[in-house]
Amino acid sequence: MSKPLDEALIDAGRAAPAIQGGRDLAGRGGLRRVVITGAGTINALGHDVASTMQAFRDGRCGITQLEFRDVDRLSIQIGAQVHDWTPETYFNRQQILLYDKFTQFTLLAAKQAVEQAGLHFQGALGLRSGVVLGTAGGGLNTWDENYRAVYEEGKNRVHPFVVPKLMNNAAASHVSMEFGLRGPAFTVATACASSNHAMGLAFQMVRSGAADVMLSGGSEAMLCFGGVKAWEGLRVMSPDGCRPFDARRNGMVMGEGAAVFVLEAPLVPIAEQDNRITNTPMPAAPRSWPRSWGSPCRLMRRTSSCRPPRGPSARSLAR
Amino acid sequence: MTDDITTRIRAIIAEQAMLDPDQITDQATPADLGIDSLCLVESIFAIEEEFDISIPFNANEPEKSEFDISNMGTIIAAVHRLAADKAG
Repeated sequence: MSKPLDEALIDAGRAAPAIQGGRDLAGRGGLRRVVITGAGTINALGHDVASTMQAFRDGRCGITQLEFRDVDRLSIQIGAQVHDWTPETYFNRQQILLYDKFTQFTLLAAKQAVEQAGLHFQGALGLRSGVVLGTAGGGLNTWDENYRAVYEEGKNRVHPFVVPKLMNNAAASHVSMEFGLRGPAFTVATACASSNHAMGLAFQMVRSGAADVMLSGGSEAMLCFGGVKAWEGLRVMSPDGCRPFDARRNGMVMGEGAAVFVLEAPLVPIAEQDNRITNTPMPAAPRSWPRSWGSPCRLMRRTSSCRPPRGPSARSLAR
Repeated sequence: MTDDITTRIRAIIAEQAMLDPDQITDQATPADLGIDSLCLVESIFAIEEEFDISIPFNANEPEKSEFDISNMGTIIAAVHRLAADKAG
């Protein structure tokens, strides 16, 4: 009988020797520990991790009456919808034109996670960092709005950004561009398991040494007329509530939102990190995250004292 | 001469390029105004919507399109022709 995954990972972490002389040394079998140093989210319970955790503690339910165009034509009218979402608070007009709601959610969650991790991706670290995200539906709102325009309203022209908005890897691509992650950047789609698989892949990439930092998690924004109507077709939706493991359970309830984590290889012993040059405060929340991933530890800003121009050197690209 | 169509085109381009409409001179090329390929496609879409016309522009081969985007003057002239064709 093999050990549970989390114990095996912690063992692998213990076996990994600490960094010496500024080089990170791979542990047993070339595998490294992986730690989570940042988390971000937006969902029906809150627009960040702290408010979400508080809602958990308060036992608050995020499911409400859905609010969007033509909701009265749906037989399912409840969902865990994000309320008070004002993209103009976070994005300029041009960005809003280019980002579907699932990308907007992702960028906000990613920003929170990166800020908490205190990482900057200029220079060499950007070349060793990437993003793998999960989504099942991608830009559902964009599909919905534009199908409506051409089929219902009879328009013969749609905005040039329809494709860049709706594609499933839009969120991962924009995260990559926004933060300067020049390693792997792609999206995994495996229905409800998408983000789980994305995080598994990101974890393996850091663990194996393929990347030093990976942003991972996922996003979904299906709460629009077409999105919910499609789910109605499956006849699996509850009209009145979410009651898992309950004898009175009568179906599932759709939600929307995003969650993004920062996964890193611990490259520098904790004692050395106290001397690092940074204005970023230490993370307040993620003590509960990393347990199953190895002991909490943080990556030194290797680029903090030396920030080369944004473009990669020809030599680094040729490697 | 600044007619209504010209004014409306300049307003669209100015918004896309985040410039003042006065800066949209006839001699200015899209590159002069900081309009990249994606922004150009968006501008063409906005002009089509504004005048309810269809602009023959292929982003793969802009130079081979019937729609001459050499500078703002050629763009404005081409939109005038398309608007006139539509009016019949």
